Amino acid sequence: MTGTCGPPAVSSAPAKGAKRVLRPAPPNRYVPLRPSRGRGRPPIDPTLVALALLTGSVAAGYIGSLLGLGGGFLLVPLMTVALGVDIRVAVAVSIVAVVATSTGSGAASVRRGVTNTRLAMFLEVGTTLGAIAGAFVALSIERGVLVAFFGVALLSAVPFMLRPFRPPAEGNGEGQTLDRVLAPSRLRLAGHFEDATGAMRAYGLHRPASGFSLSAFAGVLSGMLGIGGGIVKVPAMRAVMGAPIQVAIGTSNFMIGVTAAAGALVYFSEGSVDLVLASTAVVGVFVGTRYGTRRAESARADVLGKAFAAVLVAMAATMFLKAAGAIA
Amino acid sequence: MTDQEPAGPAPPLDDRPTELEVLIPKMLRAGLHLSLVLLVLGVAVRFAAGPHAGPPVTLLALPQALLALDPQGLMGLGVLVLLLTPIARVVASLGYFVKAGDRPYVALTLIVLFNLGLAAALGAA
Repeated sequence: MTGTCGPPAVSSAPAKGAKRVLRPAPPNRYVPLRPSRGRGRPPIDPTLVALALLTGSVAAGYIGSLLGLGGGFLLVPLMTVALGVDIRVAVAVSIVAVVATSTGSGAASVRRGVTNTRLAMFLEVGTTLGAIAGAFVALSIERGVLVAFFGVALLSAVPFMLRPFRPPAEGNGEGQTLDRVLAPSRLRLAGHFEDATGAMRAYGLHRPASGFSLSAFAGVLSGMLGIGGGIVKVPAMRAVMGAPIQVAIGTSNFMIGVTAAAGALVYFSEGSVDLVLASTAVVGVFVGTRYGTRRAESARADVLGKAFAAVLVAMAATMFLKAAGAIA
Repeated sequence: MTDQEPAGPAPPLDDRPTELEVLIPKMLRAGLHLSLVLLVLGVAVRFAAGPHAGPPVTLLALPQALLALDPQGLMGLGVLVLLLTPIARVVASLGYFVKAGDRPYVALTLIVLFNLGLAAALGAA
């Protein structure tokens, strides 16, 4: 009881006569998390929040696995907009739930033979580092900025999903030095999978360095926004590297667990994970994912892309309203 | 030009780690189910025990919470098992790549594991 003490008085004045040395400004210390800031509206009963989150996370898990996402892109808006949860708590809870989604749908994808283990491991080097950086960014920046950024990230993925894959143009070797050094044949990234008709289809992959960079960026978004990062990873593998959509979604599902675990470890160690909300969300997405993954097998690629785009636009609009203060 | 693989001929079909494809789904599912049991138990005990105020349990404070029979400890353990599940998959892949003598992928897998350790260490710092 008596062991606690306030911070010591700060005495940062330099000693007399000391030579002034120009140093870079110290990095911003992130603000310790406060689960309830008492802003806007009275807090909702925790039991009610848990029950609403349970229902919402079933839906998030279902849609998420259908589209090759971790489900976080729905969970965060649900928690912040509908349930009034602090954005940082929402991100931390969501990223834990995303691990569960990916673990369930990733297992199913591996069993169906639509994952590429080497491709996943190669890209995970970037996604894990990105996720750590992203988590620290989320803990440092203003909450409103974080909400707005969430909206921007959702919107920017829309064109990717509506654009069909174009093979790399002939003779575009210039400016792709890294892609040539990281030749796909060296990395042995090529694979094959069984398509919907049961026929084995082989595929090659292009532009690994570009795919890697985009995956690292996906990792940043994952750690920062509590999402799986599939919004970038799926288009990166499909549109940039040229993987068939089934392989892109399957490998993304598979990778998201490791990527999200990196971000979640930061939040869990730091103390941002509300365990009741996290437990509720995990149970919910588990149930939703079970049905979503089963349904995804019979879904058509072009319909998936359009459905994905529509959901992204709706979520982005909600987050912009939240950032602008139109929604409490 | 040379950085693209020909689309025509099929790549070698022995390139896929089929052992892993059998092992990994089992591992992922076992970890997920175990964590679900712990999380559901934790939530049940937590709501049965009544309202609780206090800071969320961190990774480092988890052993203490478990020893104190705090329901948060049970939920925290569930979260830990969940987070360790994909990590266990990376470790299994490491074993496979070591056995196959696939050095570049042994190195890549070790980097991924290092990054995961770094995440926990930096978060606690």
